[in-house]
Amino acid sequence: MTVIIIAQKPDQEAWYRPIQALVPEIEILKWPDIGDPGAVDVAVVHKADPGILAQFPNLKALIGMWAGVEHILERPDLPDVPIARMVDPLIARDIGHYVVQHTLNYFRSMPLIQANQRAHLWQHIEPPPVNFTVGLMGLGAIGKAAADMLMNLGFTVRAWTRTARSSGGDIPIFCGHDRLEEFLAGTQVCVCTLPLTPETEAIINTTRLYQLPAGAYLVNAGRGGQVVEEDLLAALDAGHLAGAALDVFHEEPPGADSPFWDHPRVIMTPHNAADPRPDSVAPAVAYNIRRALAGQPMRNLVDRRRGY
Amino acid sequence: MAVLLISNFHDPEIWLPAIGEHVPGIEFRFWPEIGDPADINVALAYDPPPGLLATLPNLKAIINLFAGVDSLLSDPDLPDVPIGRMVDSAMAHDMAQYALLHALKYFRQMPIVEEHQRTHTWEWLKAPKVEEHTVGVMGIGAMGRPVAEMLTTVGLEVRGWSGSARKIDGITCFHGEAGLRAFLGGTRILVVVLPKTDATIGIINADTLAMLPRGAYLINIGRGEQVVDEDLFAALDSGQITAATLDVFRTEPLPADNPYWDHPKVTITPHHSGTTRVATTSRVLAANIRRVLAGEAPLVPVDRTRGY
Repeated sequence: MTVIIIAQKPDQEAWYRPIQALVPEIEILKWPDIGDPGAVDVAVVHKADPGILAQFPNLKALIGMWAGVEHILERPDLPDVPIARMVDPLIARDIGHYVVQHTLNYFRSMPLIQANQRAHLWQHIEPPPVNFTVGLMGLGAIGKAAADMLMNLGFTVRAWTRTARSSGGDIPIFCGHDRLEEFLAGTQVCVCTLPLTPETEAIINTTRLYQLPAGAYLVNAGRGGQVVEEDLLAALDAGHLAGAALDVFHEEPPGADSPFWDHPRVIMTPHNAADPRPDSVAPAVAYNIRRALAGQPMRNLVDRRRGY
Repeated sequence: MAVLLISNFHDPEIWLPAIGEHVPGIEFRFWPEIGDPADINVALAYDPPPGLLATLPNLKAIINLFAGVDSLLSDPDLPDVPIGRMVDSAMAHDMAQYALLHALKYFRQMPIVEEHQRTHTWEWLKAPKVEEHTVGVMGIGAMGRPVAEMLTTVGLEVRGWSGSARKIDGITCFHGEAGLRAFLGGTRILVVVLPKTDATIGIINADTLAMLPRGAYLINIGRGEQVVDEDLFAALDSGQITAATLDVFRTEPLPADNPYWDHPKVTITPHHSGTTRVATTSRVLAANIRRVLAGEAPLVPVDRTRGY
């Protein structure tokens, strides 16, 4: 029974050490040392070049170190085995911070204040509105963490989800594509933390952007593929959207000629809303390694049909 | 019996009806149209001209329209009547939001990320650890305590310092001069929310800035006089302080030729961390008027010897 960790150097050691420490009785190989590939039962994957996964004929399970799995699901070398994704409270907290920071930055008029500073202009800023609604697209572990923080800060929070869920606590939930328009119409800051699936691809397009009220703000901490970038630029330039904070893009890194770089109302961040930490994710990985080797179902299994 | 509003900030056409709605039957006057000075029992004051209050023979109490009473107490002819100050929970909430926004921006290395966007650089930054970025709140009284508490709701490490001993759940508290070095030594992001008193003027100086770990950040939402500006410039230039966000200044509006405006490591906001909202503030002012006219002490009474 063998487990292999596939990550890129120099990160490989950082991922390996805390996991191996939690399962000392299990032999863990480090890519590219694959030993007897036929003996490898479980692959723990951070970054794997194309073709690598096909080298293990008897793989029983794959454990990913990422919250989003769309890149792995479209690989031609993906074996037909159960896949677990990472659901880590620290990832959820980090993205919650990202959402809170960019929501507050807009809510507290920082783009205007920073422009005033460049002009040496001291200008009274109207108090922020008392009732202000943040709409979350996606209410998984990540969206929920962001929602809790936002509600503690006094924001009104609503959520849109693709499928019905039993309870969102105090959060009004708008479910399915039929209710997206209604959700967007009452949303002042629209936050996307959705997984990328065929259903969510290009979901933020001209039609949807114009269903937001004029002056709304977009925060995308989901995936670049969810936003039609030319539609977003057009809505910004037409003045319909007040601005956007984007952590993810169609192409990463974005080309040097991407219009987002110099756009005065766009804040770009380098896909670092969350930073999974080896010591934080290790317990969940170790748990799933044990489950997989014992032939039991892993936690946080990916549903290939849904795409996450 | 009348209530006098003295302010260059509050528009009487907005404020007097808003307060009056909660205390029907009370006559309001707006400085300088005082009428018979003997009619005035209560003064609602913001930065009144020195000596003015001493001309009101039947004054029962003064309600300072903001949280900071330093300007009021500097009037050498201030009559010996109870003083209350406005501690508006909505204002404290706004200040807490402001502190959280700017602490998160520093915690998440936004100055570097913004610089990268300007230079079209895509560089993934390792996420800083919460435990290495303790936020130290200086001043944990009526205004500072909600600030410290809000910072903890998103999972940041928070410690507090105050002139006299205080205890807050979940926050390590330090006090007095003896506690200052230990407090600052473990503070990576310093938030100043102190009232302006003789003891706090100039408290952020070369000595105290040097007690912070190298590369610390400063956020000042207290009063401009608490910072020795030359010392802060020197600390920014030496790298002892990485960056500062300043909402308050010795002279406001900040003069157009002040060197803070163009300092690349300084963010300037126009004294808007705590904003005054008519709806909530007028209700508190009305309650104070009723108390004072009934012979009770005002809410949040000021201790002249402490200075707040």
